[in-house]
Amino acid sequence: MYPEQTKQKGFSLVELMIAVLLSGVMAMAVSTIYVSGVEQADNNHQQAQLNHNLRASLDLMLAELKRAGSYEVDFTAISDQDDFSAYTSNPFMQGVNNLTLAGTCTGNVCTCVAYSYDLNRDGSIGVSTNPGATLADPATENTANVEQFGFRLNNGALEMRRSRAAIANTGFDCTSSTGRWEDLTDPEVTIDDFDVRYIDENGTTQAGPEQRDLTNGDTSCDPGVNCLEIRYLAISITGSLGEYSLTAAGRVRIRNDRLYTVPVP
Amino acid sequence: MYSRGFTLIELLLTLLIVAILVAIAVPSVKEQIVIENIRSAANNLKQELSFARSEAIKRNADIFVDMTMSGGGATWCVGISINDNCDCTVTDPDLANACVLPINGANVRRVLNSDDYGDVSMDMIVDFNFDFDGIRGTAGPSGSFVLENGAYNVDVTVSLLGRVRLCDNNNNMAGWTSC
Repeated sequence: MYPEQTKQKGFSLVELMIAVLLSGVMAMAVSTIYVSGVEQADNNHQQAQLNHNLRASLDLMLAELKRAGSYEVDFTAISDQDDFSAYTSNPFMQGVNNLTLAGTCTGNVCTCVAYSYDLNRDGSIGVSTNPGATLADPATENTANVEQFGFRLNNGALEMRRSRAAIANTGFDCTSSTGRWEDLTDPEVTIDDFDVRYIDENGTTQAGPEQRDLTNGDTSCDPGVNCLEIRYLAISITGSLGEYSLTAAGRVRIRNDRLYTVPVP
Repeated sequence: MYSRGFTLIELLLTLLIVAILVAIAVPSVKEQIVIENIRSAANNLKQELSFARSEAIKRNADIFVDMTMSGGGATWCVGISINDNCDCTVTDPDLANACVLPINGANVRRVLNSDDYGDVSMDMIVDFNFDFDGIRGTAGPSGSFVLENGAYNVDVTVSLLGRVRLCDNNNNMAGWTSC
């Protein structure tokens, strides 16, 4: 005994097709929103990566340049405090080790800065027990005192000089032949411009450091006189990634003023 | 009211459909576990290395990272330490070559171990031992290594700036940046 079945009316074909069409349109709208969300996330990621690369590089440079020329020595142990030569013995500000701007210079604006400081605080630089060793050989290298650093623009990347190319290299400049340079920025990021220049305390570009003749107070130092150099630097980095471009800029006063006797040519 | 139950045919048909659905779902769940293992290994490593960098800056002392592999990378460990040349396989925290950080006067072992990450294996072209500089926060030397699990392959890159980046080598992990 089955109960009498009621007659059921289903969808017509036209109704079904309209329903499919409507759901198709809705699915397309939703997927467009999803795709643009994914693209937006990708763009945000690129922007953040570019921002991080430039700011972190600039922060490192400013912090490093503040240390330039710092020298671990006990000045209270100097017997004659009036002896100028006691202060000019800082090896991190003498000759080749002194902070220099180099690379490609247009006017007063350069693409590389080289500097040194006493990273391991032992008062020595470039001293090796094994000058014949190469830096690639970890068993024999002695990198502790190869404290000659730099930042430069090379092939669309910012690079940092970590040490010499080989212990025997005494040259200290912005070239690849004397130093071992490592990329500071990610390979995806292109650095379009890296500027480093001397400025005065108001930010105006200068040809060189501010000088004080210690005997007569002149603002330029003649050969043979004892001289104080006050150094302000301005740095600007412009980079791009995808459709984004960004410039990060900063100024730094080198904390350690340079005391030296201007060489007589 | 008299109600008619399932026929045997209907029941068998239902079971068959359930079986087919389960058969389809199981491999994909297994795949998810594989992805989850490599994902957590990569993320935990990234976190540990970032922690090592912040410790270096906080302590104003170099923090050393040791990676040791055996069995062709199937077994690996990563340890961070204030001890130069620490060995992450050393389990006694008071040995001189243990990977430890002193915390409140006690040596605390900081090691990530492959045992916790299923079949995730590690690969490096050269042994990648480096340190985070306590003064600068930079990594020296910068470099990278690879984590692998089945069809999934993740690059872990440590940049000179001390930043740790992860990327998807085979471009098959949803939501990951490809390399």
